[in-house]
Amino acid sequence: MPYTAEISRRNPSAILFVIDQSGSMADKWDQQISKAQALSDAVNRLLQEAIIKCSKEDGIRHYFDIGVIGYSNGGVRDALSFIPGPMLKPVYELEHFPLRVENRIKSIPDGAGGIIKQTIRFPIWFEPVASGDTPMCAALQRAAETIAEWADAHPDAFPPVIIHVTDGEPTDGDPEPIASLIHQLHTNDGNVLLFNLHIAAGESQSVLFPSDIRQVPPTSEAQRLFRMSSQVPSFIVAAAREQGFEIGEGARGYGYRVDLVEAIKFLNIGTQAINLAR
Amino acid sequence: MIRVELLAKYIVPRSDRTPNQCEDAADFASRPELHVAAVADGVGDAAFSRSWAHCLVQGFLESPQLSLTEDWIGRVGQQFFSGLPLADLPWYLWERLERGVFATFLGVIIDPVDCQLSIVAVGDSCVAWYGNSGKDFYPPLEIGDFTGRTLALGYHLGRPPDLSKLTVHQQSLPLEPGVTHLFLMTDALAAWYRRTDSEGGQPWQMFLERDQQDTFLAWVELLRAQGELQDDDITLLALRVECLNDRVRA
Repeated sequence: MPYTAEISRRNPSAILFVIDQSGSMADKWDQQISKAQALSDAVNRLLQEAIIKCSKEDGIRHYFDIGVIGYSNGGVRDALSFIPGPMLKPVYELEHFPLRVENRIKSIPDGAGGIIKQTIRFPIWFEPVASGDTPMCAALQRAAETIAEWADAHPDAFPPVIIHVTDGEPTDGDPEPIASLIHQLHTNDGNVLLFNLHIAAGESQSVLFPSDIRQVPPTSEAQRLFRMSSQVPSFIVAAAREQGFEIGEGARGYGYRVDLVEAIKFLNIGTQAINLAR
Repeated sequence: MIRVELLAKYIVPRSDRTPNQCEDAADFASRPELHVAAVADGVGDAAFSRSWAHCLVQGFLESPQLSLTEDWIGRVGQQFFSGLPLADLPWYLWERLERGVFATFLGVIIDPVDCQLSIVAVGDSCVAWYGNSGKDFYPPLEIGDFTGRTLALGYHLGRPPDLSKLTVHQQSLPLEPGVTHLFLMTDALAAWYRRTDSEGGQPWQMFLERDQQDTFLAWVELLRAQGELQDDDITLLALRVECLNDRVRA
């Protein structure tokens, strides 16, 4: 049965974010905040969450390799390039090499009747960028190459997850053939998962986890992203249902014109593998 | 009159863990007024599971009680936090403590006066017994109940204990004159025991034949290799209980 491999230090998995950083990401997502800033916050929270979930009292365990690809006018870049090593970094390296750290004071009851004031470090890795055009094909090609190499080196791993977030259309061609190539990548435990999240501050109704292309607006952009999205495996279906999504069998890992709140839920569900580490 | 002897205390870590990373705990204490034993299994996807499991076991041995009250958990929790270097913890472990520490738990109390066995359990740590008091298993879990996703005793930094959503199993039964063996186990071994028993095997015999740590370890490794035993932390606490005469009956 696919997607049942244990995620452990002996058998880590991988998560790769592919983030659109084109000029339109500077637009407001809601009334307060730009898409780029909100997405940066969300990715930083997910990276923090990955570290927390992989941590034990003896340190951070290597349950995942994690990477972030950004694409914009400057081309395709490793958004975590300040961390040594390849595109996919061991999760403990993220904690060792934050881009910067914010210190926050927390007052916490100590469980023994007292209050402790503690300075807590909140690391930041991913800064907002919004510039120029949208080289989506090049970014997905880089993601495909990165994941193919990783899967070759980890044949028994829980399959890697690629989460692609965009607000627009590619300016460098048709990404669908590259997505098809990604869908064929696999480990012995199943195919690589490619989830696509299209974000928008819009009036039109969003679509989340559609099972049928007829649930998607009849535009070439919306329908192409549907076809580019992997079918959601059962462990993610269960997580999505627990969070209140009406998600049917055969649903795709796809959100179209989603708002900020929906996007955060989608990202949490898309990274459910973090909860499978043992 | 009763005689209680600890036959075995085996704790075997999962194959990718060192003994110091094993998240099971077990212990036994014998006092004139009662005999107490407990096992706990720290939940694998939380941090500090090993320390919490040890605190629960030691807390029960020091202050055994059938009704696991929030006061009792609170006292064990204070003991737990007093042993942590809170000022030196990195940000991610503070987050972990706020989200809670968790362990399944099983404790037994043997009353030497009336030869009574009392059991309290939360989650899928179990006790089996075999001998003059019959053959049984508690809590009454079926094979399908050993899913690895079970309720556990939790404690959160900055929150009072809350047992309202937990199922706490409790049972008391008389021990018959003669010898009864008790086997306290964490979930992986308990699942094996339940399945072997249901298939007509004699799992208690397997335990009694392996009276040394090395023979037990070799047996665990064999079962793991054969796929008959889940590769999880394994704990067995085996007690021989002998009621030397009829119970004092009220």
